[in-house]
Amino acid sequence: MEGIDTQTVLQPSTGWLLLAVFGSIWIGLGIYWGRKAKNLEGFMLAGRNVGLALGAATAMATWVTSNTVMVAPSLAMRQGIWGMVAYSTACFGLLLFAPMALRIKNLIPKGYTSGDFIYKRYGRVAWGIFMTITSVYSLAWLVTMGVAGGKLIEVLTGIPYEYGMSVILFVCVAYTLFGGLFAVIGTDFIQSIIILIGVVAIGGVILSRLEMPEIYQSIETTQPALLDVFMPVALLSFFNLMFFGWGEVFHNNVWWSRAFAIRKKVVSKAFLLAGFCWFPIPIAAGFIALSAAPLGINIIDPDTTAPLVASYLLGGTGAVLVFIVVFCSLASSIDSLLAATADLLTEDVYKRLIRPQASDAELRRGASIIIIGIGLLTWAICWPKWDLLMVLYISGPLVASTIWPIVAGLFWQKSNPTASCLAMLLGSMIGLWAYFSIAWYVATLVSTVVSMLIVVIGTLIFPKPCDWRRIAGADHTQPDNG
Amino acid sequence: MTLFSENILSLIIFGALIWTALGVLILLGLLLKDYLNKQIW
Amino acid sequence: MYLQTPTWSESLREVAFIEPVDGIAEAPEGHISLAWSLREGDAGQLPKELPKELPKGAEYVLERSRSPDFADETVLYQGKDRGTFVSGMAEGNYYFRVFIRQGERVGPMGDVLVVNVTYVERQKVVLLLAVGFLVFIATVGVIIFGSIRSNQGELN
Repeated sequence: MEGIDTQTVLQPSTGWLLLAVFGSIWIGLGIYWGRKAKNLEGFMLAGRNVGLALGAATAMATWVTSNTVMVAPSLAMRQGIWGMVAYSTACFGLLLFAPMALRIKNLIPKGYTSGDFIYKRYGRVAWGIFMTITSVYSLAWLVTMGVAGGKLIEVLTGIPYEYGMSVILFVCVAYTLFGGLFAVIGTDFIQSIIILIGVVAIGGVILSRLEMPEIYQSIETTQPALLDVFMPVALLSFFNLMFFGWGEVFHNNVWWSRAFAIRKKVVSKAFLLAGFCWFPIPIAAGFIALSAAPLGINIIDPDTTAPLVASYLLGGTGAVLVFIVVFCSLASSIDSLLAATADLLTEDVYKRLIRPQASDAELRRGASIIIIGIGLLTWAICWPKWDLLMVLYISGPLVASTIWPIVAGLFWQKSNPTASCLAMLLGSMIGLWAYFSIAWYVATLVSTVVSMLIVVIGTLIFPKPCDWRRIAGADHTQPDNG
Repeated sequence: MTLFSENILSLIIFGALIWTALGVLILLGLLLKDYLNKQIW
Repeated sequence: MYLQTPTWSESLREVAFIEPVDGIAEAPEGHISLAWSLREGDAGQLPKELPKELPKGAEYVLERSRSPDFADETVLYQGKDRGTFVSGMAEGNYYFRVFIRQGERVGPMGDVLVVNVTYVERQKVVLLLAVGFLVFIATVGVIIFGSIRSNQGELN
């Protein structure tokens, strides 16, 4: 058995070539598709008329991050079958968001952001808490993507981390700036096809070299716990991870902006389809890790499993394939985050707090500046390799505390605003306490339970019916409560 | 410790790969349908 | 102690685990990262500058066994790498040792590493699954029920 030194699998020059080619194509598409955005609604919400194909693809691609492709194998290596399957259930967030998206469109047809909804439904205090939670989470997500991108490019091609990371962020900022949500969604479709094909290709090549009986026997002999029907460490965190995913999808403007952007007739189907298409990816990616030992590949760091196996099987071509798939996973998430977070800050902070009378043109300019600003902030944190993975993990209890306030806010007319504020606040704090004092695998679960109980009990004791039509109103500077 | 059988592993892995490939076909097919109906976006 | 005349670049030296270093480790999730290297040795016996490379044609061998006498050993790894990631271990004790092999010749066995795997108690897992499942049902229920009412025009 030989370990493979992936740093020499691709030459830096190949890496630069790939970055230049993909970067140019993506920025070119950004400029081309950006011409469709005639106004603010075009720029931020792609005209509110995106069809089923693009709608499903963008939701699916955005939910595929470098974690899906790189961490899934690592998870399979450590937690076996249940590890992969548990990860796959992260798509349930997309599936459940399908009816929510339709409700959102029916309730606030002219809405722009998730912050909009919280402000109108629950008032200023809830909005403030919500904005804090979503900012922490969004920034952590952005930074971890940037760091992952830089590291991966370095491992595969030898290009120094700082350069690789900078180029990825620069390309994403550029095409998002020029093209807005049209560019984001258009490129997401291409990226989703590449990701799906790439994952199947690697799986297919593995199966051309190994038979399933060989694979099974190897794992059964040397790594039997990976096949355990009751694998404790994987099952421990099963619902914890699931609610982390729900918290991410239900609250974040990345998904709300898609709900607003996709045509009403197909919005539910789009999210259902996205969830459906996403489900098998962690398993297919996880399979890569399960095949490492049977193939005779020595894994030292489980996070490098995917590139190692691909390079072993396909040499330079394999490494290029991994490079492209991960580039697409990163870009499809970074662009969505940039666009959606900029939308949120433009609508909720710039327009609501600073210049309520701003015209559409001013708002569009504001959004552009904010995209650049977020890009620079992310780059500044990525530069010293401050991997905010830890922050991303602890944002689990934060985002999970928003699940019940949002669900109740959409479907339960009497849902009490103060209860929702307390639910987010206490859910976050107690969840964080649980993270550090009990264990990481209960934090999000604890937060969800606390938040749910506060919302339900608070509303049952102090119901506060809202006027749905008021929330649907176009004037989004007036909250429902002070 | 009870282990998943080889058949289950095969089902899960082959199933996932075929399902992923199916996703490609569905998305491309839908794009074609939207294109023909001029309702891509 | 060594099987070869002291041409140090060709001798098969002892290999020691550098991760974990204590000779005994816990692996509550059934996986552990191992790293090893050629042992430096006592100052008196060996030259000051020890070659870090393996002799030509030599490779490390990592063995694992469920019993301390290595009666049922499995070779987990053979090659030039100085580490590996071991996963999928069931509950109980595992014993690891690593040495050099060059063709027919085998270097001295280093210290045995003991890894103890004890999973979290079953009850804890079942409890968390049960709580999670209840929350799951409640949340899905509200969404589905609310969605149906909304589509029937009751939430306007």
